[in-house]
Amino acid sequence: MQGKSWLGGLGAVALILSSCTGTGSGEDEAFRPRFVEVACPSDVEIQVLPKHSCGYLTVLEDRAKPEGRTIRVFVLTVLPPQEEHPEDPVFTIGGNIGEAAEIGGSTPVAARLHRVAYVMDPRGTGHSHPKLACPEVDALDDEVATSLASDDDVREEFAAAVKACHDRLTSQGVDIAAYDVEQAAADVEDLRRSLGIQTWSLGSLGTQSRILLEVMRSFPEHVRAVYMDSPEFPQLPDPEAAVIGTHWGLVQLADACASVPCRRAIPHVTRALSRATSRLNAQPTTFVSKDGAIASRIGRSLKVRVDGGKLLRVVRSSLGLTQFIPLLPSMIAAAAEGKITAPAREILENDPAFCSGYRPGEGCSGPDFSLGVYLTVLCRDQLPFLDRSALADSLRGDAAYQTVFGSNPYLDACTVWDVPAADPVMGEPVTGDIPVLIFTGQFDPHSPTPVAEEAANKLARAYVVEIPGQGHNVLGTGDCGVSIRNAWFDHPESPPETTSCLDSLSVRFTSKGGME
Amino acid sequence: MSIDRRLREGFERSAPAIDPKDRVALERVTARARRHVMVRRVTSTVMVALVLGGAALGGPRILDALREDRQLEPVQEPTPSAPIPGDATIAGTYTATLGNEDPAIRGNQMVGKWTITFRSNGVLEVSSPEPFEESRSGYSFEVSGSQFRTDLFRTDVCNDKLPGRYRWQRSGNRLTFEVVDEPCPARATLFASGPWQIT
Repeated sequence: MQGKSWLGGLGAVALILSSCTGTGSGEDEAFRPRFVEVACPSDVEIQVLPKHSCGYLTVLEDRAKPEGRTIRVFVLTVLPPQEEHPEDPVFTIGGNIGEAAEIGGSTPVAARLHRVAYVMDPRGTGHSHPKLACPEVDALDDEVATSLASDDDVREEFAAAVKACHDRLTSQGVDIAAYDVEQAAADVEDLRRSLGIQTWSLGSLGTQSRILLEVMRSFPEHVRAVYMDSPEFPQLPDPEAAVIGTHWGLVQLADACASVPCRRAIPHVTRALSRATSRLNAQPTTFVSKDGAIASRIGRSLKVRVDGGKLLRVVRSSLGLTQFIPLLPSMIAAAAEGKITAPAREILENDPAFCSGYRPGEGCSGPDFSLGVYLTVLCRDQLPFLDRSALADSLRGDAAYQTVFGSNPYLDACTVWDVPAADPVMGEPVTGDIPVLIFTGQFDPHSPTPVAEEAANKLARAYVVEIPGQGHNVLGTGDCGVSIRNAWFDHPESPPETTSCLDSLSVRFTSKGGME
Repeated sequence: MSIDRRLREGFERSAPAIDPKDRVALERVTARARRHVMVRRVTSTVMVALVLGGAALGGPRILDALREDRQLEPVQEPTPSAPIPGDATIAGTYTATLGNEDPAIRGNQMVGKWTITFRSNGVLEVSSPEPFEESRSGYSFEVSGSQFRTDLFRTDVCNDKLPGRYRWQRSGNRLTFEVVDEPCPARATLFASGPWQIT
């Protein structure tokens, strides 16, 4: 009897301690995440040449509901070619919020860092189940292309399509609020635990840095080092970052264009852009798209309409696309004369509804986008912490900025994408002493260097490397960033040393393909 | 139904041999049993008082460690699902010099002398002319008979492109590639511009 009493007492102590210490990812005792290998999907198999395998991690959709739905998160494992390699692997999460992992582009990481690499399609994206795509919104691509940025009707249609997507997903039993940053970060931790990994390093490409930063905040004890390419940070909601980033990118462009011969062709980039947007707002122009992605999909040509807001969106998108940056001054100069150049047309005629200028441009080229995840992260993890007066002030009375960023259609979308606000901590900066290497592109309006530097100041051992001449995703453009990352990765406690390759990089402006 | 979907559903059907509900139930039982064993072991010691006394200080870490250990799945080495890369007969270092005739070569600043080393572990190592600034490390190749596949430049000039397929032939010191299926023009020109000479 007495023994049973002791047992009960010990059990109670264990229970109390258990509730105090948590379980890492916070899952209830009744459920244990599990990782099961499966044959790789054919689209993965065809892309990945090194030794690899695939699997699904089964996790709770909402960890606060231990008896609730489970979902499956896709994971690719790539082995390094080196037979002898460090035991600690690297986990990478590729792409921007809402995008699937960039499978082919992530594959070389294993060989470059001499480690087993795990690549995840975050919950709700890619091969993960369920997938939170919104075909209701995709159906508006041609409507948005043929409308002006200032058209209120098309914004209302966008909000209605978002609502239809919301209603469909929730009627299917999807808890859309669970596809947030906190749960996605807990998936990463559950993967680590399921695989029995004691320590690993983390890497992100693009705005999915938000997920890794949350891993750093919640589960820092298992993280050796982190690299982030073109990251976003939790303390700055995207609608604010969009204005700051666009201003920053344009200032960088103006500075870079201050040298001859660019200056001769376009003496004041920012003034020229103001002239161009004012002119296009007063006199919108059109062009016929016959073979763009949208025309091909709907099976007919369409008249794409362009006003100042549309041009501003194209310019922001181009600042993030490294291959478009050399063409930007001539694109802006032509627009000031009322002409829409070929690169601008290319963006506009292939653009999914309200993508370019809002989401990083690389993600606007593929159909494999989970808008539902993007909206949950925006509406739940960012907008509740948005300083709307700061946003209004930053628009500086510019009509095009007001149209694109002040009347940001995603702000309206969040009124119908009904998710509760995240815990306020999700809008706080991440701190800690994990070694972090942050890469930014000189012109990137989605991850401006000053924002990265400010975020790095909150971290005890974070280093920022700006790659000259580049936009968003610098590790996917050129060897310099990759070689800096690879060398740093072996000694992450120190600042990156081998940065001499930066000295030879710059943007080379050209009007080729730009002027008509 | 697409091939991809059929494949995925096929994989999913064959993956879990145990019904998921049964698996969860089994895991719950196992977890309960392990908890029970853990408690019995603790109570069987004569140091109960110390355990209770020390719990406030060291207990959380100990229990967390115990719990973590309990929850771990066995570590699984990934199973290769692709052919073993590399082939001893192609292994070696080769050079070729690219002229400026091809626009893909000119546009990507690839004119000049190139060196490629094919390692037996399926890795390509590339040395390029000075102006070429793209990533040159970490790429792979795969040889199956006369077929050759590579993802060279996948993260750069061949961004978003699938690996290229070639027929390869080595004759003495010469290595030649013939394009079978190559979505990336720059890569196609690089390989097909041979012959590559062994060094």
